[in-house]
Amino acid sequence: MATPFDPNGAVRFDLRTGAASDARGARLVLVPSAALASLGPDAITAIGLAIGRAAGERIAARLGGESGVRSAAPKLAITHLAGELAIAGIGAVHIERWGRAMVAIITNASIDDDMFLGAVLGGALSAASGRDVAAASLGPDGTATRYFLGSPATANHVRVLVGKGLGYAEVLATLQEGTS
Amino acid sequence: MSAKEQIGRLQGLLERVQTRAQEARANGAAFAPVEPAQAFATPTPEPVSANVEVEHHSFPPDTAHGGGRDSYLSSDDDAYVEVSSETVEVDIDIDEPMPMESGAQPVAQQTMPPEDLEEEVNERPLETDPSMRPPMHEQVAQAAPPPANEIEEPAPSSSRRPIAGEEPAETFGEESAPRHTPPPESGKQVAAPSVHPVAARAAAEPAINPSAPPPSLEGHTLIGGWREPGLGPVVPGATVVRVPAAASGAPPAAAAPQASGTRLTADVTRPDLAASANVARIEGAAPVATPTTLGELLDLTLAL
Repeated sequence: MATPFDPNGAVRFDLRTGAASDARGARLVLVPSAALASLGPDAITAIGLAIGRAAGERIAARLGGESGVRSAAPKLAITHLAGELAIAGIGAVHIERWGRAMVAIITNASIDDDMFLGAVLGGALSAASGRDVAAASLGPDGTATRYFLGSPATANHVRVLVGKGLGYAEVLATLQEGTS
Repeated sequence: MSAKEQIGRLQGLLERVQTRAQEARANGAAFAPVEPAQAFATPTPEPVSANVEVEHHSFPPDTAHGGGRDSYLSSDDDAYVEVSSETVEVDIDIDEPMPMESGAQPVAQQTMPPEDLEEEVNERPLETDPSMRPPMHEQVAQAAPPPANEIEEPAPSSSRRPIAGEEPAETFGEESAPRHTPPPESGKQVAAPSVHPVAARAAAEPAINPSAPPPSLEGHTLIGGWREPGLGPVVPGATVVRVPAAASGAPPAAAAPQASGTRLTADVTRPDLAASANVARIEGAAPVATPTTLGELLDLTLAL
């Protein structure tokens, strides 16, 4: 049964006790984005990965677990993913499919850091689906940033290709040729 | 006819009359000669005993004596000779150019007997002696054009006079060797002249001789030579193959040079192809993944 994304009551503030929590009662801390941006790569990656996993678990909780997420329609699952990341204040997310490659585009990101954003995306999809998904940046495109979603090995290969100066279209084409 | 000629003829007529009168007198009639007038030099008919009447109306003598007709003929004459003045029509042959009939040739009038002509012909070679030739100025005078007051009539259109167009035929006769060769032996064929001399000359000087055969292949034969269409074969027994004319529209193919002098052209067949066509046809389509679930989408991207 398809469960549409319902953002009502996603964050609860108990002003009497001075606690912020999600819908399931997990405590939250509102942190300035600049403070997070000042962290080092490992810290910010760890924070990003934690934020993502928390979002994925909530998605799976609403969609019937990991199997329910995998069997859900891509549009429904992406809607839950985008809703959770929007409430967390990460940015606006939508998904593109280039051939067999799955690409996430994040616009209006609060922290413009590829390691942080990649960790949020990978952690969310991995926690929601139960699969080991990694994200690698394909480079900025205006105000948006594209991220390849796949296996950790392929993500590392994408980082190498992008480091050679290839554009996202060439990288994605190269990935298609290698598997055809 | 001038007045002098008329007077001379009348005098001759008068002499004849006198002669006849004398003959008549000799036959028995009395004749008394009449003294002629002093200023009249010619003998006049003398009064005779016979009754002779002389009527002369046409030309009265223009003399100084005043005797007139009465003194000219005495009334005492006993013999009358009737002389009638008749108008004599004298037909004088004048060499006038007469229009010749169609095809007639001007023939010189023979002015001496054939025997003398033969002698004249026998004596003609002597004139070829340079010593016997007239001086140059006389030759020029003989070759001078006719006087200006003589009208030179143009030759009729059907005349057989020599024209310029007959010159190539003579040239053909000179240049065509087989025409002067002896007749071939039995069993041998004489080849026709390979190239018409006029055609060869036209190829070399097309602007000078426009009446040469046309440059087209019409009329040429594979056995050599050029023959006017419609004429019979020149070489009896020879097989004549006429080369077809080049097709109009397409540019004529260049004649391949042949050692034998014949001309062969290529029969060109051009294909009829469309300017463009849809040559490529795409069969099937590239596999497009249409995942229905997020799990399928993850499987596709994780497989990369």
